[in-house]
Order: sequence, then C-alpha cells, then structure tokens
Amino acid sequence: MRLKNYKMKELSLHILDIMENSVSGGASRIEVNITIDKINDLLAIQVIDNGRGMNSETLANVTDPFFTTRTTRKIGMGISLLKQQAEQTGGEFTIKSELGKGTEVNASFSLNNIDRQPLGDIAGVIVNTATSYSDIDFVMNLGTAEGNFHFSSYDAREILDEMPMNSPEVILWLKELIQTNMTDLKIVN
Amino acid sequence: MAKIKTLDDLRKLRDSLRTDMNIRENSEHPDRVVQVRVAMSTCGITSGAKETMDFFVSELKKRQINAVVTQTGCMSYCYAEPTVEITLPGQHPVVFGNVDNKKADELIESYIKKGELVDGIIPINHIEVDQNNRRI
Repeated sequence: MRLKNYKMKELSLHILDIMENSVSGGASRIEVNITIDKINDLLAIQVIDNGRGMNSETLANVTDPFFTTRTTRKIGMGISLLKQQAEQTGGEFTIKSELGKGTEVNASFSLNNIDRQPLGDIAGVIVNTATSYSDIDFVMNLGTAEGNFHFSSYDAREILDEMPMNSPEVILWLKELIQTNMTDLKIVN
Repeated sequence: MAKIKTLDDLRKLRDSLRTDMNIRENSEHPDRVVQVRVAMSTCGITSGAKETMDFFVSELKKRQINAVVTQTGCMSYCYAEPTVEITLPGQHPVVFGNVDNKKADELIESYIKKGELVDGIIPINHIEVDQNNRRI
C-alpha cells in the first residue's frame, strides 16, 4: 500500500476521518465539540458518537496503525495519526468506548505550538459529512472566549422540510452559515 | 442581503428552492440525477479526497449539471486514492481512481457530460450500499 502523504494537513481532516469512523460504527448521532482557549493555550477537539462502540480488547488495540476491524484491508491509520499529532504538539489523546453505547475521542493541542496544524475547513468537513448521511444527526459546538456557536443538522432538516439537504445550494449555504459564525467568534486557523 | 447568521434564515432559501423545478425533480426521481460518491477513508483524506469532493460540488453547480455529490466510507482502493464512484442516470456505477481536481475536471467534461469513458477506471464488482449510503 502506498500512502501519498502520511499526515493530515489540517485538523479538520482529522475530524472528518474520525466522523467517518463513527458512521462506520453505526452511529445515529455524531457530536463534534471544538474548544479554543487562548488563555490556556488549548485547542480541544471531541467527537462523540452513539454507535456500537468497542469492547475492551478492540479499544486496547485501536491506536495501533496495523490494527483494524475492517475485513477488506489490514491497516487503520486514522486514530494513530491523530494521537501522534496531538502528542507531538504537546497535547493529549484519549479514547473511550463502551459496547452498545458509543465512542468518545478527545484530542487536545497546544494552540501556539509551531507544529500544530491549522484548523482548516471545519465548515466544509461538517457540512460535507452531514449532507452525505441523511439518517444521522450531526451536532457541532464551537466554544471560544468570544462566545459559542451551535449547529445541528437535525434542526436544518426540520427547517428544510421535504427539501433535500444535499443540493449544492443548501450545501454552500450551510458552509457559509458556519464560516460566518466562526469569523464572528474570531476563529482563525 | 443580510449576512447569513442563523439557521432560521434557511427558511428563505428553502422557499426559493421550492420553486426550482430541478430540485423538485431530483427528490422525486433520484435515479435521473447523476450520483457522485467520493470515498472518504483515511487514505482518501490524506490523498486529497476532500478537495476532490469540494471540486465536484462547486464545479457541477457552475457547469449546471444536475448531480448529487456525497462522501462515502472506505472503498478499499488505497493504491488509487482519491477514488470516486460516478453513476450516470440509468447506468451502472463506475469507479475511477487517482481523481485529483484535474482528473475530476476531465470526468465532468467527458464522462458526466458525454458518457465517454476516461482512463483510470477501477474494475470492480458492483459495490452495494443501502439507502443510508453504507456498504451492504
């Protein structure tokens, strides 16, 4: 197997990757919480799902890049890449899971660390994923000193009524909604 | 126009879309719309699959092609990421490999617009997904 690039260029791509894990885990609700705390030099990312979870044996192996529950391939690098990134920038990584309940991934980074990847396109990653899986509810909470922003794909679908969420007009509109609010909260990379 | 600030403003977009014949047609006849699915596995993401997906979303809209673009999980073609599955109306899905923006452009102009097959097809057994976009 040839990976063109061993690193995710942006933190949003890690979030995208972990969300896809939650989808594969059969989640009907995926929550992404991002906290930016300039005073404590902290950027914290959390992905919580209500999927099928993992037993303790699987959980013990999950950060091993050569361990995967997939039957079609032998490598599962996403979690180990994220763990490596968090730890290399002076942050922490934890993952909790309970069979039948769900999984919670926590990754924290030093905001000012020179090796910390930029946040990247958070709006794009949330909207691309939420609009791709119509049976899953996606929630995103952004917390900064300037305030909080809450997004719920369930609320969006309620408003859209019978109109599909995956038309390009809606996709672009939702991205702009999130980006505008991120700018208001002074969230830069 | 006021800046988009809250989800409530989505009602206005919804109302204007309700008068759009294309959109109504798409939701009533999904088989008549071009379906583009981009694999978003770890390998795919590190190879640029997200950029490929964004390219399809904005370019298909710009070129006024009726299509739905979604992401899907690992299709297991790590050696050829980013991979994209395109289903033209009434046809079998075709998977293409190594789809960067340049290849995506070619796929839109040749395959999607004219039905002309392009290099880089990954021959596969039909991948089946349920209506929730997950592999069966």
